[in-house]
Amino acid sequence: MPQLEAWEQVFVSDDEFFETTHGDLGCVACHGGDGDSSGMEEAHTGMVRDPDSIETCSSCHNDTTTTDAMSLHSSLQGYLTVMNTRAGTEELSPGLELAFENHCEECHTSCGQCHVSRPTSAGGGLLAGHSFKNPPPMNLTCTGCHGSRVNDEYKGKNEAPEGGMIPADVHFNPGGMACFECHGDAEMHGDVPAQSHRYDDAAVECTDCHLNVEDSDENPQHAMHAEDLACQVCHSVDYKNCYSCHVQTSEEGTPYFKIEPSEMAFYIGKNAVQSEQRPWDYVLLRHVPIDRDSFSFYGEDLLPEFDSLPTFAYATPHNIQTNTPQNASCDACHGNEELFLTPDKVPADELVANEDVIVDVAPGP
Amino acid sequence: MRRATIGIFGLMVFGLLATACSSDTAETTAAIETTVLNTTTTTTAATTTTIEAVAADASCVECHTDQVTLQALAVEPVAEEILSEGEG
Repeated sequence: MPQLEAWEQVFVSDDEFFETTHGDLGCVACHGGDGDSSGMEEAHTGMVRDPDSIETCSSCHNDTTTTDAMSLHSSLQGYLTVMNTRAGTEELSPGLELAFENHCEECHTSCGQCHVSRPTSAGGGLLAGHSFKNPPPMNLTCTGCHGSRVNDEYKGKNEAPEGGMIPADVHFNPGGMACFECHGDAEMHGDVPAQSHRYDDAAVECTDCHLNVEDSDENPQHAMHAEDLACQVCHSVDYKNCYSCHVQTSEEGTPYFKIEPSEMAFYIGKNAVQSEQRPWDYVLLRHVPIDRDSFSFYGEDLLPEFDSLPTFAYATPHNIQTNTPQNASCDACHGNEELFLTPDKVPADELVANEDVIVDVAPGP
Repeated sequence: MRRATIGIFGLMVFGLLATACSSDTAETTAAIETTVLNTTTTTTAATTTTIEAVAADASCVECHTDQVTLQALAVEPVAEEILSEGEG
């Protein structure tokens, strides 16, 4: 996503904004500072670029800001859950806390970072002259952060291992669907049961739209497989897997990361997060950017319980196709070990971590 | 890293605005005069509350609605060395 020039980031170009309810509030009411001052230094003293959601927005949008504080976008609980689980702690150790501050907190979103500006982690800058956007523009907000995996998979920007491009998700092309058409207000604003990670609760399910597929006579495969296989097992294609991410800071204190080149691959494995809403035996697995030494810059042995979570994690790739190589015929999948996360595909030092998801032998005909 | 970049950039722009908004260049003066006219038009059609709010924010509006002024004053951040490797 091209970055805005410096002046564009703060240019209130939309005159009509001042005639809106938010415009009526004036600048200082949300951003602070001294609007009476003719000196810019004085005017900006105490000014807040990104007003706090609770302090600023709750006076009118209390219902939303109350639940939003619990949303994963605000709380970043998903990161905290996996870090604490691998550390064997309930609260982050000092080393991990510093790593979290340096590398994870940037992903926190406020109300304004979706509805008024681009997220800070995507470079910031007003979306459209300070107009409030609802829903936010997907390409400037959602995929501004969820870029390397969701954006590239959804829009068909990944190269296939055998050459050519992997097609876009059918919901995007030809469907033309934006993110919010599946991921609605309730999920985005935390108006769902408390979540410790994003698969804690199914805020959105394929069958919300694709009603009664299990009972449909159109495709007998649905009736045969719907209880055992997640939809993506048959309808996804190669997706991005990342390995061995390490985070650290430069001598000047600038946080950065190093990660091995990603791999486009497809792994069917066992479902380690089975629940009423995710009852399937087989799901897709994606290697997540974690390594036993990911945080070693911040201290020794910070993840002593590393093996308590798989490194090949439950995944829902956003590259859905009606027809895929594995659903072309029965034999295309049954007995085809290339599709399954068998032990030989798992790094030797991660076999224990993945023992709950590894498929020893591909299911036969 | 981006947050730091934006923070540094913000301070740079802020500092430059603080200096330059009090300058006497013809370009800046003309731009602000134009904006004042726009602000007056807006407040005339608004409620009493709005008039007070916008009047109190006149300085903010003057600069942040003036493309010419912002383009003249804004300084692009110095490109940082890219330390990260691989996809984030």
